Amino acid sequence: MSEKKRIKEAILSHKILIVDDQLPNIILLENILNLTGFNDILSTTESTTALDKIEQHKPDILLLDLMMPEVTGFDILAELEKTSDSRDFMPVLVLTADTNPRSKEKALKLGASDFLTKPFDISEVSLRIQNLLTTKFLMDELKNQNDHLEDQVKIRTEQLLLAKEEAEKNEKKYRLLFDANLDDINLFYIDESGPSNFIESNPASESVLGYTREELLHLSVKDIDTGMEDSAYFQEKLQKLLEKGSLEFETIIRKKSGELRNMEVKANLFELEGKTAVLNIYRDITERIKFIDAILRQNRAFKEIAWIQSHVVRAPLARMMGVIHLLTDMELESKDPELSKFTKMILDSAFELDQIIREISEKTSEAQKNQNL
Amino acid sequence: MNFDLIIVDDDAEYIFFHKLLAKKSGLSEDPLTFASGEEVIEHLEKVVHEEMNNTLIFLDIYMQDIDGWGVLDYLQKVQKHDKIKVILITSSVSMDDKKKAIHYPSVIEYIEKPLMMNYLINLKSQSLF
Repeated sequence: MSEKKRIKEAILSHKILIVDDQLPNIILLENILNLTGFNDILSTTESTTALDKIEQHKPDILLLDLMMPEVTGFDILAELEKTSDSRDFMPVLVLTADTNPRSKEKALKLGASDFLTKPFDISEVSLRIQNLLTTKFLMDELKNQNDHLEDQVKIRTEQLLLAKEEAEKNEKKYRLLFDANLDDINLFYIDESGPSNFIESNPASESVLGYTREELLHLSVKDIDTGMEDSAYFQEKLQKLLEKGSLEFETIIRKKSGELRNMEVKANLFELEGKTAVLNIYRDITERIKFIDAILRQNRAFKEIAWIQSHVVRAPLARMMGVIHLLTDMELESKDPELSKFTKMILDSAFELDQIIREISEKTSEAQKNQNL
Repeated sequence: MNFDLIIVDDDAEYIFFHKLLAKKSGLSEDPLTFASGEEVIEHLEKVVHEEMNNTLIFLDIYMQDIDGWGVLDYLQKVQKHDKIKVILITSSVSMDDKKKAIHYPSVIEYIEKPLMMNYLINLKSQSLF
């Protein structure tokens, strides 16, 4: 269906209200409109009921006579003007035999859209009504489109608001992770020439590095990581970081006080405002390393004791056992029964000691195996 | 006996004791004794390259400098397992030492000290070479 035909059909289905105290005028107008193709036509000769009818039937256009007894066309126009804000656009075509320009002006001021001068010319009536309705139709469509656009804007605005709230919630969550973390977290940019100064640090930096967050804004990893003294160190780390996106390593940092601490570092590459940035997490592992060292030292001592038990202590013991056996073989006991008792006691004690040494040796060997696992 | 006996131990008292047992058991009338790995290697170095007697070595493991393992490594290089056989005699009760000893083909026995007279008497009746 062509656009013109669509508009024509829409216009012909519009509802028309005629208010005129002269019945012949109404009949004439109804006939003209029927011939044009309109078929939703209401009319009344009682101007007093006009406003109620408008309220009740919500016509698309009003054909209004001005000169009527009791309630005139001007009164109705004035009343409509008062309530026009709350209504859809309803064109009013004024029907008048009065050619006085002053009454035309008055009607226009009160909101009339156009005039039809009596006696009516058939084609003029049809044309003017169709023109007004075309205007109304287009205005209504524009208004619908505007409403639709407004709705769209409203929906989009709500979505944006929700997204913003969500983002704020996330920001809050991650901010808390950042602020409450016990590990030091530092952010900085990076390129071939090296690291930038820190652009942000969390509160833990103060306890881990000894610097306040403000002080760190004037420092870079070069100032805290002792590894950076070697130029190859940075290039090597950067290379790996660019390859993998993240990197874990251990290093020694110099705190503000000059104290050196062992750190486990987790470096993460990310993009920030179009530049390559790094998020470094520093965990102080100095104590952990001390503990491990202590355990390793103790293990070495433990091993030494076990070795002494199994080799050094056992050597003289085995010697004793050998000699006692020899004494027994020489049948000394036959000369003195008490002596035989003594040698047996010494031999039993030696065996007992030997057993203890073997147990210690075995346990050490087991412990050693577990450690090697 | 169809072999010479060598006793290696860095503990002079063990040398005395093992020599005594060897004589008493009749295993050897006059065993050679050495107080270190270096000394026994030096001695063997003089004889291994010629026609040599069958030799049984009582070898201690833990000694200063070249220890029993060092001597066994030397014997690996010499490759005269039919002529030179070793009985390890050690105060060590470590399982690891026993496992390690198995890998040396020259070792025919691993004995935890003390060495017993009865063992040597039994040994006499076995044909070691």
